[in-house]
Amino acid sequence: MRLIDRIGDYGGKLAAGLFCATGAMIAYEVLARYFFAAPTIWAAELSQLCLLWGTFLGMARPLHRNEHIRITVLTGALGPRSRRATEIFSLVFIAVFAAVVVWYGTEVALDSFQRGRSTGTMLNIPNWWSEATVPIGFGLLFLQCLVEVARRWLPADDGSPS
Amino acid sequence: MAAGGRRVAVVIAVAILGGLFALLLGGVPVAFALGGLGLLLLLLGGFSPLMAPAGLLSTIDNFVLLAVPLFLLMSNVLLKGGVGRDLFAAVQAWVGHWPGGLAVATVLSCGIFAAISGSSVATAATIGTVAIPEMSQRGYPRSFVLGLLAAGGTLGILIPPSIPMIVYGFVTEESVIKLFLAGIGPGLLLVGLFVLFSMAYAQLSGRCERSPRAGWAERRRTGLRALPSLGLAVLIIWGIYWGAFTPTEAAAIGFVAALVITGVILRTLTWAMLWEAVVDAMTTTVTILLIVAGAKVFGKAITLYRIPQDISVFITSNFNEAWLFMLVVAGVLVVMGLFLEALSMLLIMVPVLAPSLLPLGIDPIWFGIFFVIMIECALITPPVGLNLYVIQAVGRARMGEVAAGVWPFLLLMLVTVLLCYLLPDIVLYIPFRI
Repeated sequence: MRLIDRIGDYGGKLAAGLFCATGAMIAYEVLARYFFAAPTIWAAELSQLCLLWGTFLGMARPLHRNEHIRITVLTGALGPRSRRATEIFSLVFIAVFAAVVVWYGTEVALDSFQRGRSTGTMLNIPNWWSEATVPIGFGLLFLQCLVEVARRWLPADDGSPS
Repeated sequence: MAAGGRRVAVVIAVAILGGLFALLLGGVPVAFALGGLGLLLLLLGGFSPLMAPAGLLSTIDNFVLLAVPLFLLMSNVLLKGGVGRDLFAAVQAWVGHWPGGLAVATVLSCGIFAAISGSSVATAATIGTVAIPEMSQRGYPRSFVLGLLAAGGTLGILIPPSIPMIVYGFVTEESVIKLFLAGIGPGLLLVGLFVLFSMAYAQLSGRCERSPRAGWAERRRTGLRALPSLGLAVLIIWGIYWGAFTPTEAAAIGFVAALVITGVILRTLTWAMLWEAVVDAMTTTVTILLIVAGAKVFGKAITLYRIPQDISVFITSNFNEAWLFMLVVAGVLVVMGLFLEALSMLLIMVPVLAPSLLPLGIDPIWFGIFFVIMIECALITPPVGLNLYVIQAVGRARMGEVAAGVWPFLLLMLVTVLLCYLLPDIVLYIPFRI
């Protein structure tokens, strides 16, 4: 369980790094355009790829730390037992959603991989480079969901966010 | 359509909306409630479930939305770098001796910080940490102070840059640049109303001590420290206005400039603070963009069920006057804003309402600004309002205290909506007539 937590945490930190990288790339692009009169061909495309990887790898960490935006006005008023029940329900809901998305997302990415589809832009990046983000990211999310459900089910609560 | 078919359509629409609200109120995170319900609808309706991963992917693979993490990085770096303190000190040196001077300085600082931040939370937190203790020391009534900060923070999303405007532009395929420019007029109007109200309030209550008038040396010293941030605000608005760069590029430049300002010029940013700012920006980005992506899947599904189309037909055949439509929409948004988180409100309502705008002769840019002001209201109406939580945390207050101080500002926002309706040029003059 700790291992999954740690993977999710690294995913989030990697995402943070990727977002910073997009900032550097696009700022460089603007400078290159105005001062060197030489716009890049890679900045926009690569930064969009970073946004994809960052967003989908970053999903698990906020789930563990309970930072996803949700409406707590009703559930906050419940007693501890029923609140735990609603939490388990919503985690199971997310897990099922994530599993189905992994299933069909894999189909999309595998299809592109086998047919060798690519973007047809300047860099001509293979499509599966971006499409793989969905099954990988939601796969991580699915594992994190299972861990969180187990944590609420078992009496000994470990590794809760500090 | 036959009467029976229409009844089935209404039942399906009500069932879907009921299911969505049940999931949301049951505490399922908004992004997954929208995405999961969308996927379920695709499966039940016999449509290809491949649309779910494709929809998630195509939403995030977008250059416009790339502005979201970059603007968040910029404002978080400025927030951690303590720019709020410098800004507040500089403004206070000029207006602190006016009646209600500290309150006026607070509103103006919020307005200026709003021009280098796209989020109301960052604005409320940045100015709040400095202004709340200062005003409390000088006898300003507590609920007024908290309400002022909660409301002043919402200027962050009306004065460009603005994350809700980026999302609105993404959903409706309107120009984000035009939306940004359209926010300036109403933003200044709202700042003006808040300033007038603060001065009147301070004069009438008589409990607010004035600060001594600051000397020129003080003004120069504080002004110099605030100058880089002011320069950044001007650069971003100027660059977007003249088309020197797109909003996404402005955000990237702003992020790098924020690092230079806090790291090199003011030397207030440490590596630890930078890392904290970056991780915070990541969390907010991921949670926001996932809601946008989930809403995309949900939106796709309900479009296949023809729900927005049916609602549009219903609206255009029952409301033939724009003002009646706007009144009803405003009423619905006020009620939804009590319970729903602001961005979810935009993502659920805008795709449903957008097809009705053209037949009613409502400008989509104007409607975007209207929507953003209504979101501002939602941010400060209890029981659910993000800015209330922020100010509650920053000011170490109870929810009741904040909520009690917020309602005059809420009224001023609704007055602004009304003025924008009566005089659309408040919104449309800057983007379209200059």
